[in-house]
Amino acid sequence: MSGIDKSALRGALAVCAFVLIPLGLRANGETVVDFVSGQADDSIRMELRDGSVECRSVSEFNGAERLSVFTQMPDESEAVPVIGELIKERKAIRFEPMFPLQAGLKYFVEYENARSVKSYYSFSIEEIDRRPMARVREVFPSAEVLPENLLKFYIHFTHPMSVDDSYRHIRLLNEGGQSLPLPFLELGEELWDSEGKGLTLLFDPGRIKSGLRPRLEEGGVLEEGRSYILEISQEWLDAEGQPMVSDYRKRFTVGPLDTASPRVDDWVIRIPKSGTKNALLVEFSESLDEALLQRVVTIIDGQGDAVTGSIRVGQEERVWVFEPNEAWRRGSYRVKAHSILEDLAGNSIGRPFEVEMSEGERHPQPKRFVYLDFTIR
Amino acid sequence: MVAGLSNEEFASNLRAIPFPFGDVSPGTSVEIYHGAHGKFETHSPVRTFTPFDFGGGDVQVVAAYTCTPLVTFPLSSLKPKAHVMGKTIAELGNRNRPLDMVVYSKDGSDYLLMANSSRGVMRVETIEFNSLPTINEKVSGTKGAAYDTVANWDGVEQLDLLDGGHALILQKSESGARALRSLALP
Repeated sequence: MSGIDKSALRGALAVCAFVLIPLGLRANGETVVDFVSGQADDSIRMELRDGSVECRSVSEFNGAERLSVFTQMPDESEAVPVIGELIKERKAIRFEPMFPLQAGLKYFVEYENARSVKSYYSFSIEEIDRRPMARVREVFPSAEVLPENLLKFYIHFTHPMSVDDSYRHIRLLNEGGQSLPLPFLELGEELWDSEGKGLTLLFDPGRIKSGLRPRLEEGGVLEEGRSYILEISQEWLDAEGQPMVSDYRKRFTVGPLDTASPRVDDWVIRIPKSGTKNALLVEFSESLDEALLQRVVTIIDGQGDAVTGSIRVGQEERVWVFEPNEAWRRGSYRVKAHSILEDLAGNSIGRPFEVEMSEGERHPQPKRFVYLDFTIR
Repeated sequence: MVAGLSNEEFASNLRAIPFPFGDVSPGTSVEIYHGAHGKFETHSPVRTFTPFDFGGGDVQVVAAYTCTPLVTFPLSSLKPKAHVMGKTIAELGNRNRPLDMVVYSKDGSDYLLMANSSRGVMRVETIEFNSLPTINEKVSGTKGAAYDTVANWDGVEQLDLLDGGHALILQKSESGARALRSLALP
Protein backbone atom coordinates (compact mmCIF):
# COMPACT_ATOMS: atom_id res chain seq x y z
CA MET A 1 0.00 0.00 0.00
CA SER A 2 2.99 2.22 0.19
CA GLY A 3 2.83 5.20 -2.10
CA ILE A 4 -1.00 5.31 -2.13
CA ASP A 5 -2.77 8.10 -0.29
CA LYS A 6 -4.94 6.30 2.28
CA SER A 7 -7.61 8.95 2.40
CA ALA A 8 -7.95 8.78 -1.38
CA LEU A 9 -8.39 5.04 -1.07
CA ARG A 10 -11.09 5.49 1.53
CA GLY A 11 -12.80 7.90 -0.82
CA ALA A 12 -12.64 5.38 -3.62
CA LEU A 13 -14.14 2.71 -1.39
CA ALA A 14 -16.91 5.06 -0.33
CA VAL A 15 -17.75 5.77 -3.97
CA CYS A 16 -17.79 2.02 -4.67
CA ALA A 17 -20.17 1.54 -1.80
CA PHE A 18 -22.58 4.09 -3.24
CA VAL A 19 -22.41 2.47 -6.66
CA LEU A 20 -23.03 -1.02 -5.36
CA ILE A 21 -26.02 -0.17 -3.22
CA PRO A 22 -29.30 0.52 -4.98
CA LEU A 23 -30.63 3.95 -4.23
CA GLY A 24 -33.35 4.23 -1.66
CA LEU A 25 -33.09 1.29 0.65
CA ARG A 26 -30.34 -0.97 1.80
CA ALA A 27 -31.01 -4.68 2.00
CA ASN A 28 -31.74 -4.40 5.71
CA GLY A 29 -34.26 -1.61 5.20
CA GLU A 30 -32.06 1.26 6.38
CA THR A 31 -32.50 4.54 4.57
CA VAL A 32 -29.53 5.60 2.46
CA VAL A 33 -28.36 9.20 2.49
CA ASP A 34 -27.16 10.24 -0.98
CA PHE A 35 -24.58 12.87 -1.79
CA VAL A 36 -26.25 15.54 -3.92
CA SER A 37 -23.90 18.43 -4.59
CA GLY A 38 -21.17 20.66 -3.21
CA GLN A 39 -17.72 19.52 -2.31
CA ALA A 40 -17.71 15.87 -1.38
CA ASP A 41 -15.81 15.24 1.81
CA ASP A 42 -14.47 11.70 1.92
CA SER A 43 -13.60 11.89 5.58
CA ILE A 44 -17.22 12.00 6.66
CA ARG A 45 -20.13 9.65 6.31
CA MET A 46 -23.74 10.78 6.47
CA GLU A 47 -26.25 8.30 7.83
CA LEU A 48 -29.77 8.09 9.12
CA ARG A 49 -29.70 6.31 12.44
CA ASP A 50 -32.65 5.78 14.80
CA GLY A 51 -34.55 8.65 13.24
CA SER A 52 -31.63 11.10 13.53
CA VAL A 53 -29.24 12.36 10.86
CA GLU A 54 -25.72 11.45 11.86
CA CYS A 55 -22.48 12.67 10.33
CA ARG A 56 -19.51 10.52 11.33
CA SER A 57 -15.92 11.48 10.71
CA VAL A 58 -12.72 9.44 10.64
CA SER A 59 -10.94 12.31 12.36
CA GLU A 60 -12.11 14.51 15.19
CA PHE A 61 -14.40 17.44 14.48
CA ASN A 62 -13.11 20.78 15.68
CA GLY A 63 -16.54 22.06 16.78
CA ALA A 64 -17.13 24.67 14.09
CA GLU A 65 -18.98 22.27 11.76
CA ARG A 66 -22.67 22.77 11.08
CA LEU A 67 -25.41 20.39 10.08
CA SER A 68 -28.90 21.49 9.03
CA VAL A 69 -31.87 19.59 7.65
CA PHE A 70 -34.42 21.03 5.21
CA THR A 71 -37.42 19.78 3.27
CA GLN A 72 -36.06 21.24 0.01
CA MET A 73 -32.62 22.21 -1.20
CA PRO A 74 -31.76 25.11 1.11
CA ASP A 75 -31.37 27.57 -1.78
CA GLU A 76 -34.96 27.03 -2.91
CA SER A 77 -37.56 29.47 -1.73
CA GLU A 78 -39.84 26.72 -0.44
CA ALA A 79 -37.13 25.22 1.76
CA VAL A 80 -38.36 24.72 5.29
CA PRO A 81 -35.75 24.06 7.95
CA VAL A 82 -36.47 21.11 10.20
CA ILE A 83 -36.41 21.92 13.89
CA GLY A 84 -34.21 19.74 16.05
CA GLU A 85 -31.23 19.53 18.31
CA LEU A 86 -27.60 19.32 17.17
CA ILE A 87 -25.50 17.04 19.32
CA LYS A 88 -21.76 17.26 18.79
CA GLU A 89 -19.46 14.45 19.82
CA ARG A 90 -15.78 13.94 19.14
CA LYS A 91 -16.24 12.08 15.86
CA ALA A 92 -19.94 12.48 15.23
CA ILE A 93 -22.47 15.26 14.79
CA ARG A 94 -26.06 14.18 15.21
CA PHE A 95 -29.20 16.08 14.29
CA GLU A 96 -32.10 14.84 16.39
CA PRO A 97 -35.38 16.17 14.98
CA MET A 98 -37.87 17.44 17.52
CA PHE A 99 -40.65 15.59 15.69
CA PRO A 100 -40.27 12.29 13.83
CA LEU A 101 -39.22 12.61 10.19
CA GLN A 102 -42.16 11.86 7.93
CA ALA A 103 -42.40 9.01 5.47
CA GLY A 104 -42.93 10.17 1.89
CA LEU A 105 -41.06 13.46 2.28
CA LYS A 106 -37.66 14.11 0.75
CA TYR A 107 -35.17 15.72 3.11
CA PHE A 108 -31.99 17.62 2.36
CA VAL A 109 -28.96 17.88 4.63
CA GLU A 110 -26.55 20.78 4.49
CA TYR A 111 -23.17 20.03 5.99
CA GLU A 112 -20.66 22.82 6.48
CA ASN A 113 -17.18 21.84 7.54
CA ALA A 114 -14.83 23.86 9.72
CA ARG A 115 -13.49 25.70 6.61
CA SER A 116 -17.07 26.74 5.72
CA VAL A 117 -17.17 24.42 2.71
CA LYS A 118 -20.68 23.12 2.14
CA SER A 119 -21.90 19.80 0.84
CA TYR A 120 -25.45 18.60 0.35
CA TYR A 121 -27.09 15.23 0.88
CA SER A 122 -30.60 13.95 0.57
CA PHE A 123 -32.72 11.03 1.69
CA SER A 124 -36.34 9.96 1.75
CA ILE A 125 -38.09 7.75 4.20
CA GLU A 126 -40.08 5.16 2.32
CA GLU A 127 -43.76 4.89 2.96
CA ILE A 128 -44.21 1.61 4.72
CA ASP A 129 -47.37 -0.27 3.96
CA ARG A 130 -48.51 -0.49 7.56
CA ARG A 131 -51.20 -2.65 8.99
CA PRO A 132 -53.16 -1.56 12.04
CA MET A 133 -51.01 -2.31 15.07
CA ALA A 134 -52.29 -0.22 17.95
CA ARG A 135 -54.51 -1.67 20.65
CA VAL A 136 -55.64 -0.59 24.06
CA ARG A 137 -53.10 -2.34 26.28
CA GLU A 138 -54.92 -1.79 29.54
CA VAL A 139 -57.27 0.55 31.32
CA PHE A 140 -57.02 1.54 34.96
CA PRO A 141 -58.76 1.18 37.33
CA SER A 142 -58.84 -2.48 36.36
CA ALA A 143 -61.56 -3.52 38.82
CA GLU A 144 -64.99 -4.54 37.57
CA VAL A 145 -66.83 -2.65 40.33
CA LEU A 146 -66.05 1.05 40.52
CA PRO A 147 -67.31 3.78 42.85
CA GLU A 148 -70.17 6.03 41.80
CA ASN A 149 -67.87 9.05 42.11
CA LEU A 150 -65.05 7.53 40.06
CA LEU A 151 -62.69 10.39 39.15
CA LYS A 152 -60.75 9.13 36.14
CA PHE A 153 -59.63 6.41 33.78
CA TYR A 154 -56.08 5.87 32.58
CA ILE A 155 -56.05 4.44 29.06
CA HIS A 156 -52.79 2.86 27.91
CA PHE A 157 -52.18 2.07 24.24
CA THR A 158 -49.56 -0.22 22.72
CA HIS A 159 -48.47 2.49 20.27
CA PRO A 160 -48.35 6.31 20.27
CA MET A 161 -51.73 7.68 19.23
CA SER A 162 -52.91 10.68 17.26
CA VAL A 163 -53.89 13.42 19.65
CA ASP A 164 -56.17 16.47 19.54
CA ASP A 165 -59.37 14.61 18.68
CA SER A 166 -59.41 11.93 21.34
CA TYR A 167 -62.75 12.50 23.03
CA ARG A 168 -64.60 11.79 19.78
CA HIS A 169 -63.43 8.18 19.93
CA ILE A 170 -64.38 7.49 23.53
CA ARG A 171 -67.91 6.72 24.61
CA LEU A 172 -69.55 5.72 27.83
CA LEU A 173 -72.54 3.46 27.18
CA ASN A 174 -75.35 2.63 29.57
CA GLU A 175 -77.07 -0.76 29.86
CA GLY A 176 -79.30 0.08 26.90
CA GLY A 177 -76.23 0.73 24.74
CA GLN A 178 -76.91 4.47 24.65
CA SER A 179 -74.00 6.85 24.70
CA LEU A 180 -74.09 9.21 27.70
CA PRO A 181 -73.69 12.91 26.84
CA LEU A 182 -70.45 14.59 27.95
CA PRO A 183 -69.47 12.32 30.84
CA PHE A 184 -65.82 13.38 30.65
CA LEU A 185 -63.96 16.63 31.05
CA GLU A 186 -62.95 17.55 27.51
CA LEU A 187 -59.80 19.61 27.57
CA GLY A 188 -58.19 21.37 24.64
CA GLU A 189 -54.87 20.16 25.95
CA GLU A 190 -55.51 16.45 26.29
CA LEU A 191 -53.75 14.79 29.20
CA TRP A 192 -51.23 12.50 27.48
CA ASP A 193 -48.04 11.01 28.83
CA SER A 194 -44.75 11.98 27.20
CA GLU A 195 -44.79 9.00 24.81
CA GLY A 196 -48.30 9.66 23.52
CA LYS A 197 -49.36 6.20 24.67
CA GLY A 198 -51.21 6.99 27.88
CA LEU A 199 -54.29 9.22 28.18
CA THR A 200 -55.90 10.39 31.41
CA LEU A 201 -59.65 10.70 31.10
CA LEU A 202 -61.25 12.75 33.88
CA PHE A 203 -64.93 12.55 34.62
CA ASP A 204 -66.63 15.96 34.55
CA PRO A 205 -65.77 17.22 38.06
CA GLY A 206 -68.88 19.40 38.08
CA ARG A 207 -70.95 16.20 38.09
CA ILE A 208 -68.96 14.63 40.90
CA LYS A 209 -68.79 17.45 43.41
CA SER A 210 -71.62 18.06 45.80
CA GLY A 211 -73.72 21.15 45.33
CA LEU A 212 -72.45 22.25 41.94
CA ARG A 213 -74.89 23.02 39.18
CA PRO A 214 -73.99 20.25 36.73
CA ARG A 215 -74.62 17.60 39.38
CA LEU A 216 -77.72 19.31 40.74
CA GLU A 217 -79.25 19.57 37.28
CA GLU A 218 -78.18 16.32 35.68
CA GLY A 219 -77.01 14.15 38.55
CA GLY A 220 -73.80 12.21 38.62
CA VAL A 221 -72.58 10.42 35.52
CA LEU A 222 -72.57 6.99 37.12
CA GLU A 223 -75.37 5.47 39.15
CA GLU A 224 -74.92 2.82 41.82
CA GLY A 225 -76.11 -0.63 40.81
CA ARG A 226 -75.97 0.08 37.07
CA SER A 227 -73.54 -1.33 34.51
CA TYR A 228 -71.65 0.65 31.90
CA ILE A 229 -69.26 0.12 29.04
CA LEU A 230 -66.27 2.32 28.33
CA GLU A 231 -65.87 2.01 24.57
CA ILE A 232 -62.88 3.10 22.53
CA SER A 233 -63.38 3.13 18.79
CA GLN A 234 -61.18 1.25 16.36
CA GLU A 235 -61.38 4.33 14.14
CA TRP A 236 -59.03 6.22 16.43
CA LEU A 237 -55.84 6.62 14.40
CA ASP A 238 -52.43 5.97 15.86
CA ALA A 239 -49.61 8.48 15.42
CA GLU A 240 -48.76 6.91 12.05
CA GLY A 241 -52.29 7.42 10.79
CA GLN A 242 -53.44 3.79 11.07
CA PRO A 243 -56.66 2.77 12.79
CA MET A 244 -56.52 0.47 15.78
CA VAL A 245 -56.73 -3.31 15.45
CA SER A 246 -60.16 -3.45 17.08
CA ASP A 247 -62.63 -1.64 19.29
CA TYR A 248 -62.00 -1.84 23.01
CA ARG A 249 -64.69 -2.28 25.63
CA LYS A 250 -64.43 -2.26 29.39
CA ARG A 251 -67.58 -3.36 31.14
CA PHE A 252 -68.01 -2.38 34.77
CA THR A 253 -70.69 -2.03 37.40
CA VAL A 254 -71.02 0.81 39.84
CA GLY A 255 -70.79 0.50 43.59
CA PRO A 256 -71.53 3.06 46.30
CA LEU A 257 -70.08 6.54 46.61
CA ASP A 258 -66.65 6.59 48.20
CA THR A 259 -66.23 9.74 50.26
CA ALA A 260 -63.61 8.59 52.76
CA SER A 261 -59.84 8.70 52.69
CA PRO A 262 -58.09 5.33 52.35
CA ARG A 263 -57.32 4.03 55.85
CA VAL A 264 -53.57 3.61 56.14
CA ASP A 265 -54.06 1.76 59.44
CA ASP A 266 -55.68 -1.07 57.49
CA TRP A 267 -52.69 -1.59 55.20
CA VAL A 268 -50.97 -4.95 55.62
CA ILE A 269 -47.24 -5.32 54.90
CA ARG A 270 -45.99 -8.74 53.82
CA ILE A 271 -42.37 -8.66 54.93
CA PRO A 272 -39.70 -10.76 53.18
CA LYS A 273 -36.73 -12.39 54.94
CA SER A 274 -33.27 -10.89 55.08
CA GLY A 275 -30.73 -12.26 52.61
CA THR A 276 -33.41 -12.70 49.94
CA LYS A 277 -34.53 -10.54 47.05
CA ASN A 278 -38.12 -11.55 47.66
CA ALA A 279 -40.84 -9.02 47.05
CA LEU A 280 -42.34 -6.88 49.76
CA LEU A 281 -46.09 -6.49 49.46
CA VAL A 282 -48.33 -3.75 50.79
CA GLU A 283 -52.00 -4.75 50.68
CA PHE A 284 -54.70 -2.09 50.76
CA SER A 285 -58.30 -2.38 51.84
CA GLU A 286 -59.48 -0.77 48.57
CA SER A 287 -58.16 -0.13 45.06
CA LEU A 288 -55.86 2.89 44.81
CA ASP A 289 -54.78 5.09 41.91
CA GLU A 290 -52.45 3.07 39.69
CA ALA A 291 -50.30 5.94 38.45
CA LEU A 292 -49.75 7.37 41.91
CA LEU A 293 -48.92 3.93 43.33
CA GLN A 294 -46.15 3.70 40.74
CA ARG A 295 -44.81 7.13 41.63
CA VAL A 296 -45.38 8.21 45.22
CA VAL A 297 -44.79 5.07 47.31
CA THR A 298 -41.21 4.12 48.19
CA ILE A 299 -39.25 2.09 50.72
CA ILE A 300 -36.62 3.83 52.84
CA ASP A 301 -34.03 2.24 55.07
CA GLY A 302 -33.05 3.11 58.65
CA GLN A 303 -30.92 6.02 57.40
CA GLY A 304 -33.81 7.45 55.41
CA ASP A 305 -32.27 6.50 52.05
CA ALA A 306 -34.50 5.10 49.34
CA VAL A 307 -34.11 1.38 48.67
CA THR A 308 -33.75 0.83 44.92
CA GLY A 309 -35.93 -1.73 43.22
CA SER A 310 -38.86 -2.18 40.90
CA ILE A 311 -42.53 -1.58 41.57
CA ARG A 312 -45.54 -3.51 40.33
CA VAL A 313 -49.18 -2.93 41.11
CA GLY A 314 -51.61 -5.83 41.08
CA GLN A 315 -54.91 -7.37 42.16
CA GLU A 316 -57.09 -4.54 40.93
CA GLU A 317 -54.59 -2.01 42.34
CA ARG A 318 -55.05 -3.35 45.86
CA VAL A 319 -51.48 -4.58 46.16
CA TRP A 320 -48.20 -2.73 45.78
CA VAL A 321 -45.28 -5.05 45.08
CA PHE A 322 -41.68 -3.98 45.58
CA GLU A 323 -38.75 -6.11 44.41
CA PRO A 324 -35.38 -4.81 45.65
CA ASN A 325 -32.31 -4.70 43.42
CA GLU A 326 -30.13 -5.93 46.30
CA ALA A 327 -30.95 -8.59 48.88
CA TRP A 328 -32.74 -7.32 51.99
CA ARG A 329 -30.57 -6.71 55.06
CA ARG A 330 -31.67 -7.05 58.65
CA GLY A 331 -32.87 -3.82 60.12
CA SER A 332 -35.67 -1.31 60.29
CA TYR A 333 -37.33 0.12 57.19
CA ARG A 334 -40.32 2.29 56.38
CA VAL A 335 -42.93 2.41 53.66
CA LYS A 336 -43.08 6.08 52.69
CA ALA A 337 -46.25 7.26 50.94
CA HIS A 338 -46.92 10.82 49.81
CA SER A 339 -50.20 12.09 51.21
CA ILE A 340 -51.44 12.79 47.64
CA LEU A 341 -51.90 9.03 47.12
CA GLU A 342 -55.57 8.62 46.18
CA ASP A 343 -58.24 6.01 45.88
CA LEU A 344 -60.42 5.79 42.77
CA ALA A 345 -62.64 8.70 43.83
CA GLY A 346 -59.90 11.24 44.46
CA ASN A 347 -59.85 10.77 48.23
CA SER A 348 -56.21 10.98 49.17
CA ILE A 349 -54.66 9.47 52.29
CA GLY A 350 -54.18 13.08 53.41
CA ARG A 351 -57.77 14.29 52.96
CA PRO A 352 -61.05 13.27 51.34
CA PHE A 353 -61.91 14.64 47.90
CA GLU A 354 -64.59 16.82 49.44
CA VAL A 355 -64.60 18.11 52.98
CA GLU A 356 -67.81 19.35 54.54
CA MET A 357 -67.01 22.05 57.03
CA SER A 358 -68.82 23.94 59.69
CA GLU A 359 -68.78 27.73 59.51
CA GLY A 360 -65.34 29.24 59.48
CA GLU A 361 -63.56 25.95 59.93
CA ARG A 362 -60.67 24.95 57.73
CA HIS A 363 -59.59 21.41 57.08
CA PRO A 364 -56.19 20.91 58.70
CA GLN A 365 -53.35 20.49 56.24
CA PRO A 366 -52.28 16.86 56.09
CA LYS A 367 -48.69 15.85 56.75
CA ARG A 368 -46.73 15.58 53.53
CA PHE A 369 -45.83 11.92 53.96
CA VAL A 370 -47.24 8.92 55.76
CA TYR A 371 -44.80 6.31 57.10
CA LEU A 372 -45.32 2.67 58.02
CA ASP A 373 -42.47 1.05 59.95
CA PHE A 374 -41.40 -2.55 59.51
CA THR A 375 -38.38 -4.70 60.36
CA ILE A 376 -36.54 -7.18 58.17
CA ARG A 377 -35.30 -10.14 60.24
CA MET B 1 -48.38 32.87 37.06
CA VAL B 2 -48.96 29.38 35.82
CA ALA B 3 -51.97 27.15 36.46
CA GLY B 4 -51.65 23.50 35.62
CA LEU B 5 -53.67 20.36 35.32
CA SER B 6 -51.60 17.20 35.52
CA ASN B 7 -52.46 13.75 34.28
CA GLU B 8 -52.09 12.16 37.70
CA GLU B 9 -52.97 14.83 40.25
CA PHE B 10 -56.34 16.44 40.05
CA ALA B 11 -55.70 19.26 42.52
CA SER B 12 -54.84 22.59 40.99
CA ASN B 13 -51.49 24.17 41.62
CA LEU B 14 -50.89 27.79 40.95
CA ARG B 15 -47.28 28.83 40.78
CA ALA B 16 -45.89 32.30 40.78
CA ILE B 17 -42.66 32.23 38.77
CA PRO B 18 -40.51 35.38 38.82
CA PHE B 19 -39.46 36.79 35.46
CA PRO B 20 -36.84 36.48 34.06
CA PHE B 21 -37.36 32.77 34.55
CA GLY B 22 -34.94 31.15 36.93
CA ASP B 23 -35.21 28.32 39.35
CA VAL B 24 -38.64 27.85 40.84
CA SER B 25 -38.27 27.02 44.47
CA PRO B 26 -40.51 24.12 45.42
CA GLY B 27 -42.05 26.25 48.12
CA THR B 28 -43.88 28.51 45.68
CA SER B 29 -46.44 25.90 44.78
CA VAL B 30 -49.78 27.10 46.01
CA GLU B 31 -52.90 25.02 46.28
CA ILE B 32 -56.21 26.72 45.77
CA TYR B 33 -59.35 25.66 47.52
CA HIS B 34 -62.73 27.02 46.85
CA GLY B 35 -65.48 26.98 49.31
CA ALA B 36 -68.39 26.16 47.06
CA HIS B 37 -72.05 25.69 47.80
CA GLY B 38 -73.16 23.77 50.82
CA LYS B 39 -69.88 24.42 52.62
CA PHE B 40 -67.87 21.92 50.65
CA GLU B 41 -64.22 22.52 50.20
CA THR B 42 -62.58 20.69 47.35
CA HIS B 43 -59.49 20.71 45.24
CA SER B 44 -60.02 21.51 41.62
CA PRO B 45 -58.08 22.46 38.52
CA VAL B 46 -58.14 26.08 37.39
CA ARG B 47 -58.85 26.24 33.67
CA THR B 48 -58.09 29.88 32.95
CA PHE B 49 -57.34 32.95 35.00
CA THR B 50 -56.34 36.59 34.82
CA PRO B 51 -55.07 39.09 37.36
CA PHE B 52 -57.18 42.19 37.66
CA ASP B 53 -57.23 45.36 39.72
CA PHE B 54 -60.80 45.88 40.86
CA GLY B 55 -59.89 49.19 42.36
CA GLY B 56 -60.17 47.93 45.91
CA GLY B 57 -56.46 48.45 46.46
CA ASP B 58 -55.53 44.80 46.09
CA VAL B 59 -55.00 43.08 42.76
CA GLN B 60 -57.29 40.07 42.46
CA VAL B 61 -56.95 36.91 40.45
CA VAL B 62 -60.13 35.83 38.67
CA ALA B 63 -60.03 32.10 38.06
CA ALA B 64 -62.48 29.84 36.25
CA TYR B 65 -62.62 26.22 37.30
CA THR B 66 -63.34 23.23 35.08
CA CYS B 67 -66.26 22.31 37.33
CA THR B 68 -67.92 25.71 36.63
CA PRO B 69 -67.30 28.11 39.56
CA LEU B 70 -65.78 31.51 38.87
CA VAL B 71 -63.59 32.45 41.81
CA THR B 72 -61.56 35.43 42.98
CA PHE B 73 -58.73 35.65 45.47
CA PRO B 74 -56.17 38.34 46.23
CA LEU B 75 -52.90 38.15 44.30
CA SER B 76 -51.05 38.98 47.51
CA SER B 77 -52.33 35.77 49.09
CA LEU B 78 -50.23 33.68 46.70
CA LYS B 79 -47.38 33.25 49.12
CA PRO B 80 -45.16 30.19 49.18
CA LYS B 81 -46.93 27.25 50.80
CA ALA B 82 -50.00 29.39 51.45
CA HIS B 83 -53.45 27.82 51.19
CA VAL B 84 -55.93 30.19 49.76
CA MET B 85 -59.71 30.07 50.07
CA GLY B 86 -61.15 31.53 46.90
CA LYS B 87 -64.41 33.45 46.84
CA THR B 88 -66.93 31.90 44.46
CA ILE B 89 -68.67 34.75 42.63
CA ALA B 90 -70.57 32.84 40.00
CA GLU B 91 -71.17 29.46 38.44
CA LEU B 92 -70.84 29.33 34.72
CA GLY B 93 -73.58 26.91 33.83
CA ASN B 94 -73.81 23.25 33.06
CA ARG B 95 -72.08 21.52 30.13
CA ASN B 96 -69.94 24.54 29.77
CA ARG B 97 -66.22 24.87 30.15
CA PRO B 98 -64.27 28.06 30.50
CA LEU B 99 -61.56 28.45 27.84
CA ASP B 100 -59.91 31.84 28.14
CA MET B 101 -60.46 35.27 29.66
CA VAL B 102 -59.31 38.89 29.49
CA VAL B 103 -60.23 42.06 31.34
CA TYR B 104 -60.56 45.48 29.74
CA SER B 105 -62.00 48.93 30.25
CA LYS B 106 -64.51 50.64 28.00
CA ASP B 107 -66.47 53.84 28.49
CA GLY B 108 -65.45 54.07 32.12
CA SER B 109 -66.49 50.52 33.04
CA ASP B 110 -64.36 47.43 33.53
CA TYR B 111 -65.37 44.12 32.00
CA LEU B 112 -64.33 40.52 32.15
CA LEU B 113 -64.63 38.75 28.81
CA MET B 114 -64.62 34.98 28.93
CA ALA B 115 -64.69 32.39 26.14
CA ASN B 116 -66.63 29.22 26.93
CA SER B 117 -67.01 25.86 25.26
CA SER B 118 -70.77 26.03 24.85
CA ARG B 119 -72.09 29.43 25.88
CA GLY B 120 -70.18 31.67 23.54
CA VAL B 121 -68.26 34.62 24.93
CA MET B 122 -69.62 36.04 28.18
CA ARG B 123 -69.16 39.62 29.27
CA VAL B 124 -69.41 40.51 32.95
CA GLU B 125 -69.15 43.99 34.39
CA THR B 126 -66.53 43.56 37.09
CA ILE B 127 -67.85 46.28 39.39
CA GLU B 128 -70.21 43.59 40.66
CA PHE B 129 -67.43 41.35 41.86
CA ASN B 130 -66.43 43.27 44.94
CA SER B 131 -69.95 43.69 46.18
CA LEU B 132 -71.11 40.14 45.54
CA PRO B 133 -71.50 37.93 48.57
CA THR B 134 -69.85 34.53 48.40
CA ILE B 135 -72.22 32.02 46.90
CA ASN B 136 -72.63 29.47 49.59
CA GLU B 137 -76.16 28.22 49.34
CA LYS B 138 -77.44 25.77 46.77
CA VAL B 139 -78.43 27.49 43.56
CA SER B 140 -80.28 26.67 40.41
CA GLY B 141 -79.80 28.58 37.23
CA THR B 142 -76.85 30.85 36.73
CA LYS B 143 -76.35 32.75 39.90
CA GLY B 144 -73.95 35.39 41.01
CA ALA B 145 -72.48 37.98 38.70
CA ALA B 146 -74.84 38.84 35.84
CA TYR B 147 -73.47 38.43 32.36
CA ASP B 148 -74.48 38.92 28.77
CA THR B 149 -73.40 36.84 25.81
CA VAL B 150 -71.55 38.66 23.07
CA ALA B 151 -73.36 38.24 19.75
CA ASN B 152 -71.53 36.71 16.78
CA TRP B 153 -68.48 35.64 18.78
CA ASP B 154 -69.12 31.94 18.35
CA GLY B 155 -66.45 29.27 18.52
CA VAL B 156 -63.86 31.45 20.25
CA GLU B 157 -61.12 29.25 21.69
CA GLN B 158 -58.57 31.86 22.69
CA LEU B 159 -58.73 35.55 23.21
CA ASP B 160 -56.35 38.30 24.07
CA LEU B 161 -56.23 42.07 23.95
CA LEU B 162 -54.74 43.49 20.77
CA ASP B 163 -54.94 47.10 21.95
CA GLY B 164 -57.21 49.23 24.09
CA GLY B 165 -60.14 48.80 21.72
CA HIS B 166 -59.67 45.43 20.05
CA ALA B 167 -59.47 41.77 20.94
CA LEU B 168 -57.50 39.16 19.04
CA ILE B 169 -59.43 35.92 18.89
CA LEU B 170 -58.85 32.41 17.64
CA GLN B 171 -62.19 31.30 16.29
CA LYS B 172 -63.15 27.81 15.19
CA SER B 173 -65.80 27.56 12.51
CA GLU B 174 -68.35 24.77 12.18
CA SER B 175 -66.19 23.12 9.52
CA GLY B 176 -63.34 22.94 12.01
CA ALA B 177 -61.17 25.61 10.36
CA ARG B 178 -59.61 28.12 12.71
CA ALA B 179 -59.27 31.80 11.97
CA LEU B 180 -57.33 34.51 13.77
CA ARG B 181 -59.40 37.70 13.85
CA SER B 182 -59.25 41.09 15.42
CA LEU B 183 -62.58 42.46 16.57
CA ALA B 184 -63.69 45.60 18.37
CA LEU B 185 -64.21 44.97 22.08
CA PRO B 186 -67.90 44.72 22.96
